Amino acid sequence: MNPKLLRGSLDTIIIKLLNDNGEMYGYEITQKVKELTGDTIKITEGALYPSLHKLEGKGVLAVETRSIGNRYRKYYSITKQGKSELATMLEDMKAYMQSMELLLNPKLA
Amino acid sequence: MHLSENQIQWIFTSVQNKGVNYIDVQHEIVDHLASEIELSMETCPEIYFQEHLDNAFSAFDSDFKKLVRTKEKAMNKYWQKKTLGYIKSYFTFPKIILTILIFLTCSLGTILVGKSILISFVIASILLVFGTFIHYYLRLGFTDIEHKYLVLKMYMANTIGMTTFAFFILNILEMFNSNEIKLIDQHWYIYTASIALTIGTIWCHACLTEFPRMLIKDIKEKYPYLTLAN
Repeated sequence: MNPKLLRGSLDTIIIKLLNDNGEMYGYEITQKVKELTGDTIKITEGALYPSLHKLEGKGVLAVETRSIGNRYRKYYSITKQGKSELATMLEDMKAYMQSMELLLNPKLA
Repeated sequence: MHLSENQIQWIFTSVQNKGVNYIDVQHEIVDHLASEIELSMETCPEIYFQEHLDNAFSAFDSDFKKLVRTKEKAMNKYWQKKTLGYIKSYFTFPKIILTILIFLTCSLGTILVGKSILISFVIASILLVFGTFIHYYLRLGFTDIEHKYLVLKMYMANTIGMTTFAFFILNILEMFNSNEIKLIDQHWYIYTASIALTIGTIWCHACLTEFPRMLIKDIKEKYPYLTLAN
């Protein structure tokens, strides 16, 4: 899939995943997206981490770092602010998808 | 399959060689690469570690320097939000009552102290010394490692940077009052100086109490590998 298509919806994907799965780490998010979409959508690290850092900066995500043997792992989870933003984001996404459907398949409308 | 201590250290070195100098940023990238390598080592155990590492770097698909820049921006925004958010809380109920009291005290102080040029000069000097004290207090003993951690760099930029600016403004106001123009007789000077002193007082209080607490809490939760000197 063209990564440009994914760019605008990456934040929504991340927040939705964290809302459904609780805390997750960066690599786990990329693997989960691959698994759920049957390898159709592959989130690149170059897109994932800037998004995670931006959402953390905005207070949408909380972070906790824990030791996992000989290295540390950063776990992301959704904050209260993130939960309230998710509802709006999902509604926007649904409206966008419906509009795209109308544009691409006008006969169905 | 878990990677050995030496292999993890080698990934750290490789990440640093790619231009990622902040230790806190390195940790996240290293964990990502290590997870990728561990998975691929399970599926292809016959391949050497270095080849797995090279593959993981290729799959990472990111310009590391760009990644650091976006992290810097996000971290700066994070500390701006935290510090300015705390100051803003002094302008909402019930803290605004305290802010008004500080403002009235500052106004009275400005009028009384401003009458004497000598006292104005002394106040300006005290502010300078106090500003320097806060500058060192905020460092919490991490002067040597400040440049190695992005979190410390951004914390300093948003606390010391602002403190230096605040004391500069306060000193200018005090110094101006010490000349022959006698600004103290003008209403705009009293208002400006009082507002600057009020915000300066709140900022100093936050620098001595809340901001270091915010940093220590963040370090405990997000950077357990970072130890401060005191």
